[in-house]
Amino acid sequence: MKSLFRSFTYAAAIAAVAAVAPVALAQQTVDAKRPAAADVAVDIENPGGTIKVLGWDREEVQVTGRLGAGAEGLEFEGGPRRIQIGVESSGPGFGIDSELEIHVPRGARLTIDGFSTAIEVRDVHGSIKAESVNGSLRASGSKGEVELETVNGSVEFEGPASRVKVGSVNGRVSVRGASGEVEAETVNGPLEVTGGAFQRARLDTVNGRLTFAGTLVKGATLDAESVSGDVELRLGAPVDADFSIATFSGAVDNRLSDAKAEAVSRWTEEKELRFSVGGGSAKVTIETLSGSVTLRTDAVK
Amino acid sequence: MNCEDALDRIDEGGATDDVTLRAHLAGCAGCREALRVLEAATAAAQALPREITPGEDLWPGIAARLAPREASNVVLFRPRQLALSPATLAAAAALLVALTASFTALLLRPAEPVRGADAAAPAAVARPVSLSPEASVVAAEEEYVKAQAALLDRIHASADQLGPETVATVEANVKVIDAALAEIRTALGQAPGNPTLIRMLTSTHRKKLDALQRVATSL
Repeated sequence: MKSLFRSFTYAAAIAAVAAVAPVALAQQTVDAKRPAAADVAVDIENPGGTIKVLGWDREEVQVTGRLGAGAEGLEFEGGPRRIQIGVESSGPGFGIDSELEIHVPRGARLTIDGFSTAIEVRDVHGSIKAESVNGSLRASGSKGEVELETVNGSVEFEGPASRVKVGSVNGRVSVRGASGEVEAETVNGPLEVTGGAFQRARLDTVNGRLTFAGTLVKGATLDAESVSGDVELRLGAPVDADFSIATFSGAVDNRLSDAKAEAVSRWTEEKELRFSVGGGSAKVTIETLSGSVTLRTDAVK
Repeated sequence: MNCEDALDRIDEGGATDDVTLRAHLAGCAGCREALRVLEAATAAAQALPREITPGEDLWPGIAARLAPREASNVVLFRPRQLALSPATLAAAAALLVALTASFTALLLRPAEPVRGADAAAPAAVARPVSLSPEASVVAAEEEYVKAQAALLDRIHASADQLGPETVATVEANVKVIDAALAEIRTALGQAPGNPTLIRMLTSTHRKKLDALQRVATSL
């Protein structure tokens, strides 16, 4: 394993990147690279600061940036098929803010972990799994599976991914350009999904506004749940779905058909709306407590 | 295989016939404990009555309303990594069992509340569970609250590491979710046993657990 580190290229004037025996310095800059397969799996950990990952056309992984005060070094190890990159510290690393810019082959598969870390991924076509707690996540370009989750911060994905799972507790969640399967969740932030043709969509919020714009393919399912956030569906024509809408006290604005929501209880404001458009091959289920529901056509392309 | 991969496999049901997982379990006490707790929870859930048939006048309507989404809303509480103690995992397992029992009991609930002297009393309904639906909801929520409190305690105990901003964010969002839960409970007070509200109550509790878990397991 140690021989692998001989392939590191260090910039002449900058300090060391230590993988086996980390060097304790107040601040370190890093510049290192190693060969990698076109679809290399790259695991990245940085407890604070930023992680920026950029896809490129070379079959190598390069790390540049600056390690924060308190970091003991940078782990950068592995073979061409899997590479680990991580900021090393004597403790859990909280409070250490490092800035890492990592170039990877476009086909790389990424697993990224942060804590107080803003994460950005661009032009990587492989799968992306990124998590932070206190930091925003932005990714674009992936054609594979994408999973982005944080607690405090926005989550944005743009690209042709076929399976997307995104979530933030306190922040905006946005998915653009995806298709296939999407699972998105917020507690306290707006949730917006716009894309192409979906087979399965599951959208949940507590009190954020929920917007979905896309086309449902034959046999698709779309489930949306909101406590107090409003829900708006903009479906691409032709619409071909069964709809089941239930709200405890929200309003329902149906512009897809003449069907109207009807009261279902003598004692409460509960309303339900069930109708079909076209052959009804897709299934749309929406439930809210007090959020309003709007259904219309003209999805964003 | 690392612990996260092992927990993923365990979640997916892979265990006895997975050589890689077996090798990992052999050397990892934490993952063995996680597997043990999850198997216990599964066994407990399986021991619950699989089917309880209420009065024929109620069941078809309730079943029709619940069938499409009933299974997908009970989500296993799983640690992202092995930072959670076995006690917390056990609390999560208890929660799963309590929710399953609660949901079963709630299926027996009449669709409409009885209000006032002019309301027609529902026909006699079989009630093979001892807890009333309201009591079952309360019991299930108590389990949620215990698990949530354990995680919140852990977060507060680690406030120095997490930083005041993170803790404040967590607390602010807990308030948002608690307000939503209160809204749902109020609605449930008006429409006891409403399946949509029960699902919403469960999923909102689950969101709160997820949020706390994400912070707690990052420690």
